[in-house]
Amino acid sequence: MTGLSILFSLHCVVICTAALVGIFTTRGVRTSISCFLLAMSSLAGVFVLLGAHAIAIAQLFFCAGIGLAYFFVAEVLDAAGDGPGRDSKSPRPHSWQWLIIMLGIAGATTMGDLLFGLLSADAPTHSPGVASSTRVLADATGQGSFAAVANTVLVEQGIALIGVGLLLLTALVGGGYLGRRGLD
Amino acid sequence: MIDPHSTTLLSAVLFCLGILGVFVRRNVISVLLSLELMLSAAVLALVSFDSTSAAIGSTVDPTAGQGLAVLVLTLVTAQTIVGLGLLIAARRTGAPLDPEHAGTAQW
Repeated sequence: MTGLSILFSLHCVVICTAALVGIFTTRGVRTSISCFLLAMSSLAGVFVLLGAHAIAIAQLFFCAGIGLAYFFVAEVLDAAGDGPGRDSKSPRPHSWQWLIIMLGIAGATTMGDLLFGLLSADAPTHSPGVASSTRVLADATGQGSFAAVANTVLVEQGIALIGVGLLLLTALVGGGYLGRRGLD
Repeated sequence: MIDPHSTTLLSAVLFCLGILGVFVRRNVISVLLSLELMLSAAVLALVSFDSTSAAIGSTVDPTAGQGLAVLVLTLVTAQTIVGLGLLIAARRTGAPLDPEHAGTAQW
């Protein structure tokens, strides 16, 4: 069993468990939202393992965006009284904390996948999308050397790593700020 | 390379979990999230087939699957925004938020 298969199996377990907990949890809608978002953002790690880095980054930012929207709606419905956003176990909402925890976990696992790709011989080949776009760019500019440099797994994964690193940094800074401010 | 059967199986399992969530949950937000889980499973299948076709040297455009995946992600985002907008509108007009009674709402 290669390292890639082990990582993929771990992701499968995390995704399916998070989705099951999201469906069957009775601990309030925020827990459900966080579990579903964790399942969907863990898919970014699978996309990285498949070599589709652009889709992985898009999926992470998609999850962050809809996470904001869902938690915002949960807050609005809570403010309006009893609604689907109400969490009976918790007297006060913790939406931002949930979102930051989810972003942090997803960013960290995807970063781990990218580092694995950079350091391991099992690294997947570069995604066809990036390969194609660099080829088109090289043809347009007439710079063969650009394609030779840019069309490598290292450059592509490095760029993806920076993107996920920024996401993780945002989650950490947000978490630190909210922690200092004393959330809720 | 990851076995394409494994990713297809994961995609099918996720899709089934999404269907289960739609039928089991009474909460509108959870139903919307389950729909998104189903569409995320579709994105996974597209990316999986895309990488498989690239690996076996298929003549199909190697960017087609990923392009479709981005399109599906855009559609999911639009669906989310419309669904949540309807939810807030229902709250403001006092319409029932239970999906089973949504058909009786007066807008």
